[in-house]
Amino acid sequence: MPPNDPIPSLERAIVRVRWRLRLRAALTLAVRVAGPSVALGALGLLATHLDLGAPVGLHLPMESALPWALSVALVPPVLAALAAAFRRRTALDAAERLDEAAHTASRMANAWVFAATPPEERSAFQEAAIRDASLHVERLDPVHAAPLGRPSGLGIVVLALVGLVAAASLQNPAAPPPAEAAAPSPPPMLLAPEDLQAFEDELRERGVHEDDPPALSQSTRELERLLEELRERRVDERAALERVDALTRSFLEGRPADSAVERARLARLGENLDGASSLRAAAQALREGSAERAARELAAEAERAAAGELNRAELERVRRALERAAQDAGSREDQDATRAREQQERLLRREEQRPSTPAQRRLLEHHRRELERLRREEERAQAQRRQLERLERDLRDAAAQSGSSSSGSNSDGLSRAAEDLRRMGQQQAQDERSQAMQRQLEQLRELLRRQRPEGGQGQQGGGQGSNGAGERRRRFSLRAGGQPVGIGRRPGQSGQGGGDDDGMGGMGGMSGAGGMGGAGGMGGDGSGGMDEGMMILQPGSGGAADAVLELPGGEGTQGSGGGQGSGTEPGPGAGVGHDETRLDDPTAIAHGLNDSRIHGQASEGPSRSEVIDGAAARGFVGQGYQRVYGDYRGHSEEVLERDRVPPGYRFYVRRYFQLIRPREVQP
Amino acid sequence: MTTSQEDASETREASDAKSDPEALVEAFCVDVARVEDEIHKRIVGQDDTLRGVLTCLLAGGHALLEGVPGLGKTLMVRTLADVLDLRFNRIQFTPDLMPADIVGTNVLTEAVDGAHRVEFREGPVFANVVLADEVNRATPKTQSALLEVMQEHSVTVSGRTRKMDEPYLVLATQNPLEMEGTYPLPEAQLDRFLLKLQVGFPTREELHGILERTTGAMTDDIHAVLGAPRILEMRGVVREVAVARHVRDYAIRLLTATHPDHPSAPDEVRRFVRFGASPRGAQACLLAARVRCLLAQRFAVATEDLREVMKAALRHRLILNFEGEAEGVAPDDLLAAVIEAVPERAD
Repeated sequence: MPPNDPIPSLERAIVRVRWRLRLRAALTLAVRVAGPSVALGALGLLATHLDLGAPVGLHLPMESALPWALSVALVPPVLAALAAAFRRRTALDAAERLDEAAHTASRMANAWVFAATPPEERSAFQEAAIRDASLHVERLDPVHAAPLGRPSGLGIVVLALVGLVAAASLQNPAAPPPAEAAAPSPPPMLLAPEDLQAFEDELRERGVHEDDPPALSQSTRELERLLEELRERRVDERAALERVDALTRSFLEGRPADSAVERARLARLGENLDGASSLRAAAQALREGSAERAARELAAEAERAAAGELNRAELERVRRALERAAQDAGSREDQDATRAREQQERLLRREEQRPSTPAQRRLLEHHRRELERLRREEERAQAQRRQLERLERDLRDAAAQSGSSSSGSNSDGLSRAAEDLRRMGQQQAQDERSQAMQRQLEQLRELLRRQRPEGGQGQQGGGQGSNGAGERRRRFSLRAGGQPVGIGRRPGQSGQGGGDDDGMGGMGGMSGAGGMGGAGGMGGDGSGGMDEGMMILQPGSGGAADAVLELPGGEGTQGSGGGQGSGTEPGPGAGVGHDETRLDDPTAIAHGLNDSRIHGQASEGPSRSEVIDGAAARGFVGQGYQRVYGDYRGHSEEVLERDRVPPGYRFYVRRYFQLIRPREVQP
Repeated sequence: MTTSQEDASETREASDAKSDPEALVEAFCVDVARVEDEIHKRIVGQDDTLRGVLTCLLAGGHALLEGVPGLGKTLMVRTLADVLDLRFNRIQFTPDLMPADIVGTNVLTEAVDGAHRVEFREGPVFANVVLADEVNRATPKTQSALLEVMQEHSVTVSGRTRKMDEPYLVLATQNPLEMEGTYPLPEAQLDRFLLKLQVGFPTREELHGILERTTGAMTDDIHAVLGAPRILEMRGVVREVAVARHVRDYAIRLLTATHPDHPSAPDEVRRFVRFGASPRGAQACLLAARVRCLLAQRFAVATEDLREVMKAALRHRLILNFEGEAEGVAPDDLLAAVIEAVPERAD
């Protein structure tokens, strides 16, 4: 409101005060805002420099972060200063500040207000007040009325600015080379080294054969590459799962049908051949499903026949056995596969006529895949039928020739039958390798899937594989009494005492030699630590810790006592004792002992239960254990294939057998 | 020149300068200074109390003086009456004092001819300056007899209203220490006092002067320097003082801040005050501020005038709650908190 009778000096003073007030307010608010904003910008730069956003996937290069940080630091103070500067400030406020500074007792403010009143409406005293104010104008001091002192908090702003500059200067020297910065961090270790070793051992054991179908050979090589990349952490979980799935799909397309039917036919063939004593070995091999062994036995029998080593009665028994086998081999079991395929085709046509819903489409796709599998089954059955028909012809020829007196013709028929069986054996071996491959792929996929974080435990741990699953496996191995997985071999303790006891529970080391890692004492109490997530598969016996397999979802409490690790490497120091059994100088290095040979007694070796009993303590090594393991694993596979086992439990059974698989003897 | 002649000359001068505020204010200040000088011939010190009494006189209000006995309250009032050449009455309030004793009553009189007539015999309130000494010693009924005369400057007895001569000023005193046998003044009556003045103990130098004057030779040469007409003119000048809106607004904000339920009230007021000052308190503030403004030879009330007179104008208008009474909270402390809490410039 401009005064009608302005007092020029007062008006000028008021204008000056108002500008100073705007400036002071702008400075004050800018400093107040600048402290936090500059500090925030500096922290942002520092966080970018330290790459703190990497764990959450936020990565910003310093070059991009600097403008943002400067904006965060400087824009808010500028905006605040502008807002404060252009805030409305009345002239009356300025006049009152002038009064306050000059101690003029509201003369200026009153005069400013009265001057705004029209002259004709002013009272005499109002006019007098204006005149009185004009007498005191000289005392006015805009500088004191609106002082521009140092805003509070300026020191904090200066410190924050220093921090901002320091953080901004970090970018050039501390910035890593672009190539290094762009290098992705290696993915975490998806499988424990023990698991990888198990898969590689199985692959190596199975090997690649020349007569394997291309799909199997290619899948085997691809699986080897994948395992190698997993070991070198060159593939992450998602990519690994995708590759396993692709491998499984491509493998299934070329995979032959199940050979169970063929094994059943061979077993029946073996029963029919069992009538002749000379064919008993071949019959036994056929009953056990080993066509190759049966072929070898049959070929040997043909050589014996050609050499005239068989008498006539034996030849007659051979002829009858071959006739029975030939008659039975003509059965048409492959018709079941044809019927199953036809039934599946009818089901598929019916499903295709129904309304198309997402669930229906999924079901239809499933039926299509099943039909494809049945077609392959049928083709396989037909191929087997052709092989059996050829075998049948050869056996009839052999039987007919055995009726004659010519041993040479008799041996030809047997030789051809042996050749047929050999081919069937090769086919059977291929089928078994294919099934093993399929099982391995399924197991690998299941293992990869279960390596995902559970209950907040990540797959951290890198090369040590010390994630949750790895820890569970390690505990399992400890309880089972085997060598701790992933820990390595611990050197034995230095020898102590009388030379026959070095290391922990040592087996008797040499005098003065470094302690050998003992095989480890038996677990005292390995039965603790079970909860709902555990399944006891095989109780320990004779002091060995119980073999406990953990199911996911629960952390078992650690059993008290339990098994222990067993080092096999030499200890770091020399023993301090000596062998009391030595007769000469026990401290002599070069000695002349009398060697003597002690002949052991030949026996059948330890029983099956004895082998199982000490297997865990010995670390799953030894020929006996390998044989028992093969039998048990084969039996478990048969049961898994034959019985109705929940799919989830198949994994655990196979996993268990993988963990207790035979190991090679450590050097 | 006698007092009457002096008054006449001053009145003429004042009328000549009626349209000249500067002259009016100067004359106002001169006259007040003369009164103060004359009073100080008898009263030593007590400048603030004397200025407060004069403020009440010039603003047209009444004053309540509170202080321990012996501080010269009664002497000051009596001296003021002498200096102002006004009719003075003193009422000593006692518990058995009746309303008729102070306002007057009708009495039956016998004339010379033997006729009987009922005549109104005026009470002591019929004067220009009334000293209600130890007013809290009378019963509330008697104290209430002062209500009409203080507010209306008139007395109604037997249905007939009689006006007081102007200027009319009631100066009451009360002793804060003697609570036994006293009757606190009703809030309605307290509200009618323009200012409540605290009579403080004299300083050492003032005591020297008091003892010298009161125990030495009697030299009582007090003269009346102002008459009633001049006082009425000066009251008119007070009413002419300009008040800007922002100053009035400041007075209103000070007043509302004494109310505990008002948003601007400070914490002390919210805690210890039951009722804040009435609008009459704002009037008292502004009137007293006008007088102070004139005495500072200014023509418009300043905010600092309001702050200076606020305690005297509002301290007897705050009604404390039980907690405030129990804790012995001084109203002056509450008003200081109000002044501190209310900004001079309204945002």
